[in-house]
Amino acid sequence: MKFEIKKEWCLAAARREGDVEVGAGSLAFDPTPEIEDAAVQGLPTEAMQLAFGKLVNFLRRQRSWSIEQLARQANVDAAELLLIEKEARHQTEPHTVFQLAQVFHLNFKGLQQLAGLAVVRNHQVVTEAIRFAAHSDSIEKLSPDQARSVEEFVAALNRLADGEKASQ
Amino acid sequence: MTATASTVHLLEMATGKLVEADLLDQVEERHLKDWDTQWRPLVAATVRRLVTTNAPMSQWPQSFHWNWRQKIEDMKGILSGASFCIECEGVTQGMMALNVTSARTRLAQQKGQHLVYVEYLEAAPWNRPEHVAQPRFRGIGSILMYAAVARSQAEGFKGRVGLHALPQSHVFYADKCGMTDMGPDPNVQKLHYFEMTVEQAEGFVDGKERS
Repeated sequence: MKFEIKKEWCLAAARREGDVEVGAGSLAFDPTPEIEDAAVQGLPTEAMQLAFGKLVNFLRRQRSWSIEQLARQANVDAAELLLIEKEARHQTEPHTVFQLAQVFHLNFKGLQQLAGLAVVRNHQVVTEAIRFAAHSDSIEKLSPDQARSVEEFVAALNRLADGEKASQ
Repeated sequence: MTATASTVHLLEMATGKLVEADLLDQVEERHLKDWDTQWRPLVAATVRRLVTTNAPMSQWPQSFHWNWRQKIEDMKGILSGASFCIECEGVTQGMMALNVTSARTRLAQQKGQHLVYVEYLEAAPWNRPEHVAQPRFRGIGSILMYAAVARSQAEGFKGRVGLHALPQSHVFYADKCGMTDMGPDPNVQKLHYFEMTVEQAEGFVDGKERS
């Protein structure tokens, strides 16, 4: 389909449009806008899973383990661990999450939620997870600040996984 | 089938000058790749910035709660339907998907007539003030709406267009495009339904001045 839209029309339309938002259609819309007090479904799963990958990466490095060493410790596939750490969209197997919870002494329910395998009951989990992921970066050695960040996040995850309210 | 490109112009905010762009009558794989590799990271960066500054969730961009995985699947579906996009400097600046077969008008004066329904319309995040301090290009929404009207005319629907606008976009569709706001639609997440009549469509493509 060929169009002939005059330059003058484009200029006038652009000026008229200004900086207003133009998004339309339910595909461009948050499908769960009233999530604050509901079971947190369809939340930023990718960000949660990113936090999951970061957490596994940090806890592994805290112990100075290679991915292969962690795979042996947890009795899981090294290739899946690599995907967990590097690919936020990876769908982790429930068995792997269970094994990781065991080896890192984490709350299984909380880790399930973080990995996108269970419904998040407490909105604070999401906020904490995203804050943790945003705080982390890719430097090789854990800084004291990062180590503290891991500890605080694990504590929050364990506390909040069952829907308990965070103490502010 | 290869997309047909038409030359259009966008207003570049940094220079205040018009720059040439292509309006394409089909979203192709490379445009979805731009969405995946360039649009999404910028939205994620906005959220990271808001989180690190402890901004309340209510201030997060409304697009952030998208279930990305589902959206990716829906975006792929765009390839199979009627769609348009704008490319400028080799990058996708905006996309739109249309339903040109099954939608009907709701306004009393034209009720039951065929119309083109805008399933999805979005500008790249760097063109939106909620993501960047100074948007790069202006005019994307207007040109895509021009394409929707023209497609409606080509289908014999005389320019009739309908859509559900995001809450922050009411001003654009009501005041800038001159469409009729029919209020919240309980069947579509209470999004306001907007419709463009034949006369409104003529006014829009003629470029009649509005507020």
